[in-house]
Amino acid sequence: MNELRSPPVQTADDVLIRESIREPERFAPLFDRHADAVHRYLARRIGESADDLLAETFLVAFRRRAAYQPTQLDVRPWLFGIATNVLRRHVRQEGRRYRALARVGWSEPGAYADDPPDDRLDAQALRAELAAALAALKPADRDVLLLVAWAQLSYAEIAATLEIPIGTVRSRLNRARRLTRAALTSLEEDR
Amino acid sequence: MNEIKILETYGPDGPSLSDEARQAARSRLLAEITAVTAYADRPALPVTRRVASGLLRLPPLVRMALAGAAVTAMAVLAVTVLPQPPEATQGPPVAGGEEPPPVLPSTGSIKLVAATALEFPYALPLLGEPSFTSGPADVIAVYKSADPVNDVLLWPEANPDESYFPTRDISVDGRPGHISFYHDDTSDMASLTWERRPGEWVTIVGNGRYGSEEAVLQLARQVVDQPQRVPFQIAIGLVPDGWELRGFKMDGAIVSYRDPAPPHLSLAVQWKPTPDWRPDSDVDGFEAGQDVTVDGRHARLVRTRETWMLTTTLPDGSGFTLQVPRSFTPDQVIAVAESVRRGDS
Repeated sequence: MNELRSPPVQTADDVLIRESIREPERFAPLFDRHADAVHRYLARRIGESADDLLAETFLVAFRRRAAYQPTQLDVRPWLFGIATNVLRRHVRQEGRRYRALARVGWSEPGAYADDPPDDRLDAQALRAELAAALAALKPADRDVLLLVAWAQLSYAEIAATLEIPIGTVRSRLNRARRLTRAALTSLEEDR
Repeated sequence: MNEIKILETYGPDGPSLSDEARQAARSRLLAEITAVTAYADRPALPVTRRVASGLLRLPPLVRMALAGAAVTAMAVLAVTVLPQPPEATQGPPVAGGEEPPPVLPSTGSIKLVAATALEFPYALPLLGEPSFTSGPADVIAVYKSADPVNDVLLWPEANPDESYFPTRDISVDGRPGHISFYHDDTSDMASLTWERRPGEWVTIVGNGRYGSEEAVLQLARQVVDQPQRVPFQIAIGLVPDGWELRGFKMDGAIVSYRDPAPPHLSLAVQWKPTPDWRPDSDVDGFEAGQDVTVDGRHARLVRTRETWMLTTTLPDGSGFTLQVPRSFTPDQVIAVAESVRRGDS
């Protein structure tokens, strides 16, 4: 019979980072805890290249671990901030992806298959318009919008992670939301 | 529904994190962690005689990690020409820094020869069929479990004396070996290297429920001789004389060879279900492009600052992109492209 073991008690993220400065191997569990969430964020923005950017994000995080400020951020927002900075070097690729998705849509086979046909068409149109809207946004505005929408970061977390004033976060987000809403013509009837 | 909710629900989605990509990214991180650890001034580590005698030499676990790093690097074909081998971890690279320009050898010295098929000598039949991954020197059989935590890796060991993690000498049915462990909050790993026959060393790495001494010893006794061809989705038939397999990824959908001599130039081919007919202007470092013919099929040959990139179709309608150093002549690029075949993966 297998021995029953108690669930492991996890060391807090910020403690691991602090310890990893003297014992680098202490950083490894952070990857296991957060890789999925960071990859999901990257994949929604850049597609298949997310695999490589995930590795790059954690390498950058590891190299910058000494600069981590636990008083400002939890680890996950900090990682999303690094991922966002990594993405900036691929902003053209990201834009191309949105434009391609706007042209062809991106429905997976079987996705929304249970929805009525009209709803499916509406959803597809909405997805195309969203992609076009994202492609048209300024990269800095898009960063803020997607950190809110896909990483669920607060204004304060975005301000800290992007190192910009919180007022700038608000203005960028307002502008991005306004432009996105304006681009969603398929929702006109709902307005 | 506001814009944020709409984005959450209807915004673009992307591929989920595959086990291979997770392993590769984790391996790159682990390689960096271990390299930093190895170069740090940490005399208090509880090292064994073996470790003390070769502190800066890298262990199986590290080489496994480096293999992942090298293979991951291949996914970005835009940086195939490397000024130094990716495994030469000589300190943390600058985040976001530009790669230094490669030093290109003079042209005319490249002789193309037939590439040899790759075989893997062992199997663990009780664990089912493996997939394969690779690094600069090793081909690694990966026995995946339903839960990636419990993966098992197996490879012929070319450098049994290398070690960094604390190891302990151990006997496997009377044969010499050594074992090391890595544990953290979320994973257990055990690495066993032993001399299976005189002069023939093998390494097994067990993760999760296989991450114990008892488990890897049991696995070691199950290893059988079973040479098997490593299946690639795409294969290159001609490579420069003296070049060696650098690695492959995604069951051989990406395959790369390199010159073992500095500056370690390399070439890579990536198979795709549909050819990647991206506009020339989207190719990094684009300088010029021309239409050419490969095995009677249309192909696009693009010259960039550092490489040639050739994209074409295969008879089954799929396609590939080949990237080689600029030191090749256009005729040599086409000759290599004409030797590319769909594999047997």
